[in-house]
Amino acid sequence: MQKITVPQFFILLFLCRSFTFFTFTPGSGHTLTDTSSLLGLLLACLGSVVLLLPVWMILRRHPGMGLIEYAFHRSPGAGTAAATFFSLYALFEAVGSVVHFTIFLTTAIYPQESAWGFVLLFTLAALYFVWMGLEATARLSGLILVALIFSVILISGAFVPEWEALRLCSPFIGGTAPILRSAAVTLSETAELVPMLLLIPYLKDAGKKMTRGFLWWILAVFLALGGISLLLIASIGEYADTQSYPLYAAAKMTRLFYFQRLDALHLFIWTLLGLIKTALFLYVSRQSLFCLLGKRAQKWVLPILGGVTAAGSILLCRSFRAYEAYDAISLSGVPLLLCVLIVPLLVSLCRKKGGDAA
Amino acid sequence: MKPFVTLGMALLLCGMLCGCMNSLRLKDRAIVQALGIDRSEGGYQLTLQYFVPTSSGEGDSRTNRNGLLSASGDTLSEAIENASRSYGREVFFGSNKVIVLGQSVAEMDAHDPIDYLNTHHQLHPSMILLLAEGEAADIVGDEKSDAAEIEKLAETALHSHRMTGGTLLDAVTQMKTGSLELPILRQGEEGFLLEGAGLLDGEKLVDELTPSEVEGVLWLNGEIGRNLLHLSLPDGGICVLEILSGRTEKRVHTDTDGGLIFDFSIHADCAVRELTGSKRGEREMAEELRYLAEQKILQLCRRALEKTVQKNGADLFELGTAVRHFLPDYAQKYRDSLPSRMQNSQVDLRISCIPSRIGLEADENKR
Repeated sequence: MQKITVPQFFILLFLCRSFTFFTFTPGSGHTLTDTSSLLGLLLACLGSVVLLLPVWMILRRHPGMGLIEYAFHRSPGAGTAAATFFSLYALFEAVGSVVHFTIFLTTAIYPQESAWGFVLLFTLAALYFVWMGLEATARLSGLILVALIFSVILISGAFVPEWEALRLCSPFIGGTAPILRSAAVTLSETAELVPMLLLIPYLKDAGKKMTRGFLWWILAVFLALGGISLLLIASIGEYADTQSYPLYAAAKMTRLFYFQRLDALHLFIWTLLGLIKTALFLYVSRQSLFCLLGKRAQKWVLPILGGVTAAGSILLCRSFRAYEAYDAISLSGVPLLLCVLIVPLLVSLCRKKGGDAA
Repeated sequence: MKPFVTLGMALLLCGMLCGCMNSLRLKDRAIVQALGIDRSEGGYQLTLQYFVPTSSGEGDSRTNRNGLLSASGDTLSEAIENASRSYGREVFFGSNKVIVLGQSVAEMDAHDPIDYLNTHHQLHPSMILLLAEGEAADIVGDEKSDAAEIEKLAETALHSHRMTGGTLLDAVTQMKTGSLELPILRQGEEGFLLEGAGLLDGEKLVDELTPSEVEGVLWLNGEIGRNLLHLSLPDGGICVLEILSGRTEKRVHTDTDGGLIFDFSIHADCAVRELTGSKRGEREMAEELRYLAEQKILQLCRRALEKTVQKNGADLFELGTAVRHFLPDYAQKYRDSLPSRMQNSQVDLRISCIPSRIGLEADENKR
């Protein structure tokens, strides 16, 4: 079995989280005009820690086991149910990533193009990442991280001269409702918590370094995303709120010497981020199905997952109502809550095979 | 067998890689350089200056080599569609340099066209946006008008701090406060010039700012640097100060009746560049120059405030932002009446202008 190091894994997760951030839309509950979103981000980070506490306490007693392995350890029925559920959830997230990126491309950059070409190519590329394996994807993610840091430095450099501290006001100016709403939306977007619980068997020395890696990841997410948000609020916050994709609007304005527009560079990096996220969730889905179906499924699982992802993405891209329904389900936080809290607790309550219930 | 199948599939996919879907050749596009928008009862009138490639040595380098296109429509989208149709090429705004709004647009409703321009995916937020004195068609459609020259004129004015706002980004940001200021592009005898600014209440033109009032706005917003300040001396001479750097700090507090008091602290560092008609030396006059400079700046700021905030209730100085920053509870409590409270507010100005550099001429030479 291919294994990657814990730092490589959390770099992968950081890139996945960055993709969601760079392509967010204000209409989904986020805002970039006031500091309530910063406090919301802080609360969401703390919420992630709190949310994972129960499952952390369960899994630390079973080092080297992911949630599915733990479920099979409790009982075959629990393992089957857990593997099915997580496979479907990971597929749900993979489809969401493809749709999200396609809608971004066909709204902000190529409004006259149809979605199916982007969906097919994007899905094929993601499938190729999965086929190459977790280690290859993890190695690539290191290079993508360097490119992302470069992209962020360029964007930040363009807006530091526009900094105006006067534009920062109290996050409580609109009451606590906007802060809590922002925190809830940000937390519901943190789907990366699920691979964290499922891919433990694929990490080297996961038992010792996992907790520390998670805390570093949360800190990096807060500092990076919070820092960019703070800078944009204090520089072009009012303008950014008029745009469907504020970070893309900010990226469009960056210049470097004689290069008047660098949005193609940023878009290239964000495309890689989207591919990483889609590939990671497809990988999780595939591995969950392997736990369910065994080695005989190796040859046909990936093409079927690819087909379902492409078909589901095209359907969502063509039907705005379907996309809105998908978005509503995703942002409600219910799927995430089920994955990281409800299902692990239910599994832990199952009667252990060959023994008493815990 | 398998490698050949894989290779075949890879080659098949390569056919999709070059972006040939719905692509247009360059010669099938009208690459717009400048866009003029006018308004009438029937809708919008567009004047487009588009790039016409010529071979080297062809034509007079002084005349505009851009082509001109006019189109109208009930809406901006319809007008653009009609432009593409009448010219037979798809209009492309990705290289557009300048947008000029006609007086008619500002007098009827500037909000909708600016909103449209803001959401158009081809238009860049750093694009120059100006208000024409008269019709935009007269400026953009003038045979001597060149988009690149107008862009250079605006960028020079921006960099030398003689113009405030001037880009699509600035206009959209200002519109959120309910007031908007657009630099006015006028046709002079020897070319175009940027002078003054139109003041809009978010939708319609309500007043016009003179160049000295624009200068006052720049001082109040701290957008000063490399400007020249001309001072008339009591002994009949003239002194020219160059502003090396400027900084403005804004604060706000309330008085006992709950009224707003805005405090502007303006600090500028300047250098004496020219002293004519006076027999006294620069060192000798340093304190007097400082006093005169501060009085001049104070006068400019007061005039700007009178025209913008006090007369027209136009918040061009992020006063609302300052209230939300320093007095968040007050801003929340009087959210609906904040604009009128700002209009009736008191403003305290504290100016400090220090000539930190003198010229190279020895004072003894003046005696």
